[in-house]
Amino acid sequence: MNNILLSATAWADAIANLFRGMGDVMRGWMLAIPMSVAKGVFIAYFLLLIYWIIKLPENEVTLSLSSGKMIKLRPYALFSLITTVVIYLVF
Amino acid sequence: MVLGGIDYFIIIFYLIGTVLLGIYIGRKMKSGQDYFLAGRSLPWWAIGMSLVVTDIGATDMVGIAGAAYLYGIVLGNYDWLGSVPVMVVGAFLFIPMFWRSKVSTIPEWLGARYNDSVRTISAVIWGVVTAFGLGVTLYATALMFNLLLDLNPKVIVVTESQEVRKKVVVATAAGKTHDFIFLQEGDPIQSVIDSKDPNLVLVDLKWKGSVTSKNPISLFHVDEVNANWGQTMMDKARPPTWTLMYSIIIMSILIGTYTLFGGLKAVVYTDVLQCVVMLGGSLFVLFFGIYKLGGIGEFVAIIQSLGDRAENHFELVLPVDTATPHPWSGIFLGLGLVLANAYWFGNQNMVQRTLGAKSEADAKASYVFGSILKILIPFAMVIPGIIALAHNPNITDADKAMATLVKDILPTGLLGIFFAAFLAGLMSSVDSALNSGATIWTKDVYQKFVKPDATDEHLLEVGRWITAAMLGIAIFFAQFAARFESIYDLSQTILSFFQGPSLAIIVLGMLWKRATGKAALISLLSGVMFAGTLMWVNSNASVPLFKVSEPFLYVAWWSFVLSVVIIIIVSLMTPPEPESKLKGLVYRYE
Repeated sequence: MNNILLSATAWADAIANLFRGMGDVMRGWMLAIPMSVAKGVFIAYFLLLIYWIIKLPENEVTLSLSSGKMIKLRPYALFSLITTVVIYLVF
Repeated sequence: MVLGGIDYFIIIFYLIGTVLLGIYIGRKMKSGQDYFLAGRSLPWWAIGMSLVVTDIGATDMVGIAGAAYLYGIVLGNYDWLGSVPVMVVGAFLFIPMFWRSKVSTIPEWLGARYNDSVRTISAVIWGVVTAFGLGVTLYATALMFNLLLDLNPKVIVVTESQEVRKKVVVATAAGKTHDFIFLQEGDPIQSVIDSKDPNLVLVDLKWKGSVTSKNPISLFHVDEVNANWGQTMMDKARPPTWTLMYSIIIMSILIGTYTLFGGLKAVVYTDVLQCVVMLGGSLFVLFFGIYKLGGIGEFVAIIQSLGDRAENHFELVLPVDTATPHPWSGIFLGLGLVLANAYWFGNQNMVQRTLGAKSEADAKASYVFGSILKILIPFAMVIPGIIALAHNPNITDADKAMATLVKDILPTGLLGIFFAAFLAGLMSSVDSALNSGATIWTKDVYQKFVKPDATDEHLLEVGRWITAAMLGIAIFFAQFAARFESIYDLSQTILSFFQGPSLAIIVLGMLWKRATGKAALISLLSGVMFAGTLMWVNSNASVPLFKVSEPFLYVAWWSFVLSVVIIIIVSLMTPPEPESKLKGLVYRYE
């Protein structure tokens, strides 16, 4: 049993070593990013989506429900995203 | 604070009412189409509310509040980053495509877009993952049920020292199965022992001769508190009269009954009721909890006074080298770009409701409406976890934080309403997983391989049998869930094996006409194996591969990246799919 466990650890170590060097380099890059920039990445992602929603064609965002009533989805989608941006700015 | 008679009445009334509502909705159920897709009759508002309450099921109510107790508001990312933007994208990009293709399951869509092998493998993986995930949610549901109704066996420890308290909990290893009650000088020690009917009383030698109990009681000295002592003490304890398994079986019968009779329609409409009560209840706990602490200023001050333990509890974006499992890099790449997308438009649990929508507009609107509701969820689930920390920093099992807070701050009467609401919320995630799992096994496995010419009425019957079988399997799996520190992390770990590769083949399948069936199959299998290998290596290597304690976010990200790379390379090496096959399944081929 011990041999099996030892060999499992040896295999795991060998595979881990394949990735560890590359992983450590990438981790080093990530660690070098200031936290203000990291938060900016989150906010930039939301802003990109806001831009995408604004640019969507009208027939994609204004639709007729089964009841026959028209519904405009763009303002609601923008409300969701903008509120979230505000939350990320606060926390 | 304990539940009064009125609380028990409200809880039982609510549970029975939910079951009867489900049975009533399901009374006209005639076909598999009715059972699996509610006869494509669902309105946007019902789907939107159902989506949200399904997502904030057991893992959120127990696990997220518990994780927020430990790590803080960073858990809010799972909704604000992991749901809101993704649901908006899904509403306009993926959901309409699924709805227009008129499929019943995502594996069915994958079969149409790629080939039967991709469909089958995807269906089997999802079917198994759903059954195991159901076990986890059932466990969480029963955990909450036990805690709320005060059904857990109890160990009373009489000692002054905080250190000794921690040592006793570790030594007895009973924190998951028993509630600990700590008493010290100034507490009504004897009356608590007499009223709580504990299974075991452990008394520091200092109180020798001054405490009695009709139940097993032992004196101890701090120096003897170790694992052997703990085991000896637990062997002396009175056996529990009620175990977690009893609660698991009761919840299974309640949930199974209405899901079995009413199918997706019953699941969605009971979810609507549960959403209203649960959101209202949770937000009330938020406001009442802050009020009891003396206001927002006092709440923040208490958390800050806890020092290092809570220094990042109000930070949404944590450093890469954070001691929590939630570094910003993992959150953004693993959650924001992979797990969240995979969850909201690659998860049968979620997408199935929109497939049952009345119209494409209803399907789209449901996701936009859901995204708005999702903004509220961290206020209802995450912040109460932090309030629980401010209220009581000594809770031994973080998964019990929310229930403990609710029990401590709400008066009798209100407790029943909120406990019923919480239980209802927990039930919603189980019923949804049950229904979606049964749909996959029935449509993608049974109908595909066993009886391709099955009538819709026959599929209804089979769907119900499979629902019952999945419940049995989930009960079996539920007993293993207690071994993990955080059930939320456990559920995310299970999903991370499969979510990245699954997302890769869905996204590229829908957006890139050149993606081929062979490439998707190789990509899916390689991705799942890679994710499994990463997890195995991380657990078995002498130095873990990842520096975070629960690396599911990174595993999801890297398995997604690998799957994307493989599907692109193999697609370019294999003949393209015929254009006639792509019509209606790939953008620009509608």
